[in-house]
Amino acid sequence: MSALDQYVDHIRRLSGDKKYSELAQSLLISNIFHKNIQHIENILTTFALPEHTLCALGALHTIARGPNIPDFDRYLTQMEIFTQTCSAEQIQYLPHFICDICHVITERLRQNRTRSGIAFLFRTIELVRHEPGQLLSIHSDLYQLCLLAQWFEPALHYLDTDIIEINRENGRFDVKYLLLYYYYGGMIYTCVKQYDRALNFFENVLTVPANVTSLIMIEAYKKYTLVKLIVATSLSTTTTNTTSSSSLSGLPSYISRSSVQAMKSLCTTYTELANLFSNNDLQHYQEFIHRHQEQFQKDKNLGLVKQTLNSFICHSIQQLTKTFLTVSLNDLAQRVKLKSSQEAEKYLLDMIENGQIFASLNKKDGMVIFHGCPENFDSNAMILKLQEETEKCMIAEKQLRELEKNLALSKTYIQRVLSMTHDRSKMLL
Amino acid sequence: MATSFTSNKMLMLQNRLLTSGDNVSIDLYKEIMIEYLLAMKTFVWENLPPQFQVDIEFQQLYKICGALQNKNYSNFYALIRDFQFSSTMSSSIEQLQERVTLKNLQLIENAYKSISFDDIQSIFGITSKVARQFCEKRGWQKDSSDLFALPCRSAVTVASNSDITKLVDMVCFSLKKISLEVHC
Repeated sequence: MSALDQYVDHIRRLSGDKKYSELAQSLLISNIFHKNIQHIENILTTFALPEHTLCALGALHTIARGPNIPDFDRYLTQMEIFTQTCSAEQIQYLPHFICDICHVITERLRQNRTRSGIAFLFRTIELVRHEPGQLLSIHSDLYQLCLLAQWFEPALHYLDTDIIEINRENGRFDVKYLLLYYYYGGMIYTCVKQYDRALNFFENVLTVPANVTSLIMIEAYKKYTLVKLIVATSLSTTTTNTTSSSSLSGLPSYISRSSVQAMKSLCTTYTELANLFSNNDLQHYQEFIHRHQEQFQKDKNLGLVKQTLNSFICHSIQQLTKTFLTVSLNDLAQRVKLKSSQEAEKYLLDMIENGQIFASLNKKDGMVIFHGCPENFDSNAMILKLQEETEKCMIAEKQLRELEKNLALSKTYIQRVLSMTHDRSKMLL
Repeated sequence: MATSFTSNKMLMLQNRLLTSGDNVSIDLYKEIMIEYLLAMKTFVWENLPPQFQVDIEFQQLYKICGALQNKNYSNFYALIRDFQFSSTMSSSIEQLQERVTLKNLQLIENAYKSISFDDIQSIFGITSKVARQFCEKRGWQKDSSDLFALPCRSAVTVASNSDITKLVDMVCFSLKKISLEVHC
């Protein structure tokens, strides 16, 4: 009997006896499958699902990690059948195997077949994760394909649930996937124009503790700056912009110093753009955008930059509400450097519709009257809103308590605290 | 925390899209597009398989989408008026038209102290005759020259005392519970 046959019998026996930990260990350390990759297809057919899920997973993983996949379409079909018929319980022993397979498939599909991979990744995430708030490395693959296919609903299904746990994937989870989760998530929220949430996600990328700045952080900073300019005029009723910095280009104070220096030195164009936004000079702002159009195009941020132009005008109009109670449409158009009063009316209507300003237009006199915020926080809708936010805070507080309890009971934490106490008592003696 | 902007019907349609694989029907895409329009969201035309893009009804829906995005309401109403939609689509199109008209009327009430009937037609695509009818229905005044409508805002409901009491009780109870846990 060849070594391969012996090994296959061994793992099938372990699988039949439900000794999944041993089986997982064996699949991890053995390289028999790799050495006999040419026979893998035949061996795979002998592993019935869901009984021998781990064995089949080992074989499929070997094919994925091989130098090339001979028939990719067939392999994709095999994986789709696998995810529909496998045992979720057994998968938990080797989650990083299935994640590796997803990464390989994503890489192959991202060129021109993005839609095909979305359903597969969606199903795989449901299979592997323990709970809704658990992060896997596959999430970033799904978001990448959703961005390429411009189909965001599958991603939004996961993005709308906050992450409270990371699946370590047998110690193979890399911080790169965490950064990409928030980076791609921010991009998706930007596409669907949920800018507050996008800003929050980009900020999460920037505030990851780091001694070295990654390219993901640099790109996230660029988009963070632009999105911040876009939301500069929004008067959100849920939360205000939570960044602690008062200036438009400011970063949260808890970002690592090395990252701040790297971002400021590598993204000077964006920082300068944010500074010009505050200066209220539309002509200079437009000239600056035109001068650096090529760079924005190269960074694939030109669309966002153009949106900041709209935001600039709205911001200028908002500044006028601090000075004037009433102003004529013509005067407003001149002050904000718009072409005509009709254009000014169009901007005002949009801003009133979006709740960015509170104003009334008197077309008979050609005047605009600015009001204060009419919200007295005494309506039924506001009560319900308050109730919703309070419930969310209570749920978040409960989750934090659970995390704190798990941390306090973890072996690493207890060891560290004991060693610190021991060191301190040594010093006192 | 985020709030989802996706309706239950949209979720169901997206699930169907995910599970259909390569065998997606044109009717499913049309339903999705209508839901996007009703939710005032953008539908990405490039996502559509090329064989569906030649469908005349779909092309008309896309033009309607474009008119709404550009806030070209005159064109929006014209595109609906001048096309014969299929029986499956016509009720959804009617619903869309009503929703857009209502939204614009509410905007007029919020944004204008006075607006000419000509402006209502040019900006919002609502003809002078229809605008005068809305004027009467919604209790707007007209000025002495009969050229300007004087919209009035709709009443805002005020919370009852019992609602506020319930909320205060809930918050106090929760705070008490939290402080008990801390002491334990």
